[in-house]
Amino acid sequence: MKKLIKEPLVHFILLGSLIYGASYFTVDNDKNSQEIVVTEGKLEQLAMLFRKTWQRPASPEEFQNVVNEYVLEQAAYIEGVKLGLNTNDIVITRRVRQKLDFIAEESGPKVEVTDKVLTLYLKENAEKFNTENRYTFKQVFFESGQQNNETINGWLTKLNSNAALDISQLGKPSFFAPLYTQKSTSEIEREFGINFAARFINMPVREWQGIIHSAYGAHLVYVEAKQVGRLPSLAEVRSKVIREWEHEQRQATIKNFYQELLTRYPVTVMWPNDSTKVSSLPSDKSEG
Amino acid sequence: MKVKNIITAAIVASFVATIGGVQAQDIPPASNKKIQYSPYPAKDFPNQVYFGETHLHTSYSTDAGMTGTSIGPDEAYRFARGEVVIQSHGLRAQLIRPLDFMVITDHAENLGLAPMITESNAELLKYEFGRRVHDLVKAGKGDEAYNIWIVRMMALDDPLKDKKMIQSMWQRLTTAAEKYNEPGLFTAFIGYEWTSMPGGNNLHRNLIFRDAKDKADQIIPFSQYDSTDPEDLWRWMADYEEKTGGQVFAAAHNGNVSNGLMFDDITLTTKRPLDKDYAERRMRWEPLYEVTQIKGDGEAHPLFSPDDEFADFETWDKGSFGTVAKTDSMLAREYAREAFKRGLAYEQKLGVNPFKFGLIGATDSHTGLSTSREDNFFGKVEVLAPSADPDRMHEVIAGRFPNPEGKDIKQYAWQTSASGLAGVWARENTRESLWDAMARKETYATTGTRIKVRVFAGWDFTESDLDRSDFSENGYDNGVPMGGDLSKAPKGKSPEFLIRAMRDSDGADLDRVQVIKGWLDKNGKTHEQIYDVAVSDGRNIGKNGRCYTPVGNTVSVKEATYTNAIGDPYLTAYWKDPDFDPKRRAFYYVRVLEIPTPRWTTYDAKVFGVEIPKGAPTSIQERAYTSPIWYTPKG
Repeated sequence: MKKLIKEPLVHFILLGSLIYGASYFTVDNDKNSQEIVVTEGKLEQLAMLFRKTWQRPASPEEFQNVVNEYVLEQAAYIEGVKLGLNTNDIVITRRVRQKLDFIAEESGPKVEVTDKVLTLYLKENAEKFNTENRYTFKQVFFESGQQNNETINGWLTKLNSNAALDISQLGKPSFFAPLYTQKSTSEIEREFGINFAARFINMPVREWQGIIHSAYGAHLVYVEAKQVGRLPSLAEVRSKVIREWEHEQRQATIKNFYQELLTRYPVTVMWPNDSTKVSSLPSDKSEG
Repeated sequence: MKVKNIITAAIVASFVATIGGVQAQDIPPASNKKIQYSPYPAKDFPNQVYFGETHLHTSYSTDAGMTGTSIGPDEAYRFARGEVVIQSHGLRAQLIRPLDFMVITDHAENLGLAPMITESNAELLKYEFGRRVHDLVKAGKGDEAYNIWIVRMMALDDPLKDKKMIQSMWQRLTTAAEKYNEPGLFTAFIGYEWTSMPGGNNLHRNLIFRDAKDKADQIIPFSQYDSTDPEDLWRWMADYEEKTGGQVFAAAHNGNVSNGLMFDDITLTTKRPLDKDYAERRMRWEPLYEVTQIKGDGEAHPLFSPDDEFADFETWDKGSFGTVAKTDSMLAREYAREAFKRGLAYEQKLGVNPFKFGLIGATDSHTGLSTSREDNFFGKVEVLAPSADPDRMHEVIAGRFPNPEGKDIKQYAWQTSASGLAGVWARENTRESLWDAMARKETYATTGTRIKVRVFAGWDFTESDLDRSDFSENGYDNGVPMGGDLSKAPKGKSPEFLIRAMRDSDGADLDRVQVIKGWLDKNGKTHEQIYDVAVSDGRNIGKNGRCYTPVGNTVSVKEATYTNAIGDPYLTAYWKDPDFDPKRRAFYYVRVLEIPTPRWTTYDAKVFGVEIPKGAPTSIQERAYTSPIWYTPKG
């Protein structure tokens, strides 16, 4: 039983070391030192571990993240040691980090959020709260393979020149409704697929458009009315704004905590001058 | 829906909007209330399919939180709603499109232990056990702590008998559900998993509440510490409803690792043959069954369906989580199709069918990430997250105890299935509308993709009904939907079916649509028959109702790609049972098959440059299973 349950944890540790680097097993920094040094050898090791995991070199951004993560883990670890938790171990490093996340959150300022703050947050993050565009549109659906593009384009011309044309029997009328009222972009996605819905943003209004392909076949589309998304008032979305604001506060508190923490630790990353010296580093990282 | 009326109504509506203001005097007097001019207020039939997850674990499940999952309920909801989330190992994860709804079903047993350890929860540290696991974890001995916990859990010995503590963890979950539940946009149900596992055999049930926090907070989850017998769970559910006026149902899963207990012929504790009372209670509390998920597919087993070339799909049939190897007699009591068939015989005998359940699919993912697509599979648990590490494929995840007779009962990580999803036909994306649809079984399971399928059965349909623009309304008016019942066969009539299936709007084409019929003959013997009712690419269906020509395969294993050069984007069928006997009980459900697409192991091989494990199919045919429609003779 014991062996059985032990295994996943062991694997977990190995996996963690693969992804995050062997730093979990070998902290080369002096435990009492305030300085974090990332040597060239360590960089090469981190790069190699990334390669081994992903079968490709890290992009410069990815690699910067790997190094940042390593530095943070080290800082968190040294803090942990100060708290008297001085076992050099992957799990403890991780746990100490989690614990510090929690302390950061708890020690963050407990601000009573005001409507003023929320209104400002709502405005500054409009993209999170804007209602979706809604479209009222007619469409004619042609089964794939049933009619060639020439025929469908012929219908397009006819529809645009004769507004009175009855579309109810055109194409294959039974499958999709001839008229969709006030459909949001995500509702259109759900029904017709992502690519089809993406066409609506720039679609001219009150003009037959086509051929537009959905997951199911060819369509001609006539947008009768477009209702552009708007920023709701705070009263309309209050609980959602509070939820998002709190989430962001939490993230920011943790980030600030670590930034503050790092100011206490001079960090030296020994980026090589000649990147080719470190065979598995991303090639354009030398300026770091 | 009457097309002409809609257009006219729309034109009139816009006309009124334009001129209404200046010609207010022309507005007619309030009409006689009996006349309903607008047809829409009367239209209350389900017109939309919603896709969701009914079985997801976060760090609040002890077997997730103590084995590396750091994603909690907040991040899990954010992920389900389409946001990018950094998973526990630092990878960026996102769904192709948001889900419509989700139930977080963390295990009731010591709910929230891992987050309590992380935060050095003062309540936890009051207990010797709490301090012990806490200190072990903090000292880097998380594995020891996990061992200590799981031994107690398996022995049904609750190491923390503290209702207040569980209550505070439970209320964190209900709070998170309230926070992310947005009627009309995303439904976050309150729920949890009851983890009964006698002898390592899986009898788990997920509980899904219709209610909000005010009602759900009046209880603490009933766990396997309270009882491992589903009959006790049902009593507790009845108490909940009585106490709060709320509503809850349970959905079982993984009969395939129950070693014959899931659809057993005797009760668990009293070992008595199923009776009418049991059958009534089971169907009162368990309208749905989760038929497909990461730990294998439970629709049908090839042993009982030898003529079904699609039956052997993501099969797990070695054993359970205990040491006992699977036998044929166990298999007979584990799969949905067999249970449907046996249910007919039970109904004849008892007057009530104990296995008259509808179908859903879910992931049972323990990573906080509900991922069911082959190209986006984040694994069963954190240890199996995407990576070139051999454990991703070769870790043993069931049958880890040696079998006494030396039989191989191991199931490996590569055998986990990137599955599944629940499709629910409803009118609105709200807790009430979706829950009611699930309670009436108007649901289907998919093995992970968003296939759309609709079926109506009645006595007076015709082929031309398939092309009606009011397809659904006609279906409800003159027939019953999936999960429904037919009875009173008119003289000389056979059940007729209208079926529409559409591919995932961002996925693969369809191969075929099938009706799977099961029935009970006059000697009390059960039978099954498969009918291909629509096939792609102009293939023929033979006189026996089958098409044996495979659809083909466009999968490039090396590149992990496929094309929609084969298959059809949608298929429709009018089908009349050619062999109907009005005196015999029967059920019919629809199975829709996609064309072959790469399995997750094939995508992994491409992304990580690893070998595809021996035995793993390089491509699979994703599918949907609808809830059955049952025919019961009158009287």
